[in-house]
Amino acid sequence: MKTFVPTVVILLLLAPALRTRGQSATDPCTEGTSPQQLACAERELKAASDQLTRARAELYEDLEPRSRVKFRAAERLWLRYRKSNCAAEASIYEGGTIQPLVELRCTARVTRERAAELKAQSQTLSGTD
Amino acid sequence: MTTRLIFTCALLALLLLPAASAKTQKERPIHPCEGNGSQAEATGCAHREYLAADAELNKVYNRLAGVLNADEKALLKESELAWIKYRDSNCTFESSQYAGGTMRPMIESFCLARVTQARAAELKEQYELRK
Repeated sequence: MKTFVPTVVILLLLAPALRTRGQSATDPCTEGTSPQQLACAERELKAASDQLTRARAELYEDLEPRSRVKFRAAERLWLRYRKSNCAAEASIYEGGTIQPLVELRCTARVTRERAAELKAQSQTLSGTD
Repeated sequence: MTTRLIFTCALLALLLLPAASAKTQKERPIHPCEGNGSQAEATGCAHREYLAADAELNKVYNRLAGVLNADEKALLKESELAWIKYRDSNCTFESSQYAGGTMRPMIESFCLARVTQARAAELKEQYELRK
């Protein structure tokens, strides 16, 4: 009993530090229970996918035919990279309940980054936007 | 009368031409490599920037691989190969908009450097989480 209480206190103090493992500082879905975090990550991915769809359509419109072909090829390879990268990032949680959450967060993050990359390309092409 | 109409149309077309081509005009931010000197110098500068980013990525990759078990390492390797294909294809695309121009190789190197820097930051974050 004498050692039990300090152990609990130490564990409680360590809890926030342990929780940050696998989570990036910029990640928005780190609060609440696991199902809440999962739902939040799903919303994040949906928002990022919508952003990407818009950025893609806007850029595609401004491209010359020869660049359109190359853009489609790059998009296919980007999808494969995203899948493979997020499987690798989630791999330390192999078999754990948090694994799908980590993979989902990664997918949302990489999708946001791609949307920003395509938006920058659009701006390069059209100057002001 | 017809001559006058043709003349007016031609004048209008000439006036509208710059506006139409403005759509495809490239207005990228100027990179420090382009500050002064020739195109060849700027292209060399861009290429050196890419080489530096690649060297940094190699360092970060090896550091991360060093803290992973065999299964995780296999997944990292697979994702790195997929990333290389995406990077090359993406930068071929980005520079294709300058195809035939003297700036194309420089634009490709800028793209390779930028995407490689982003990948190094991504792997660095993974290393920080796992070490």
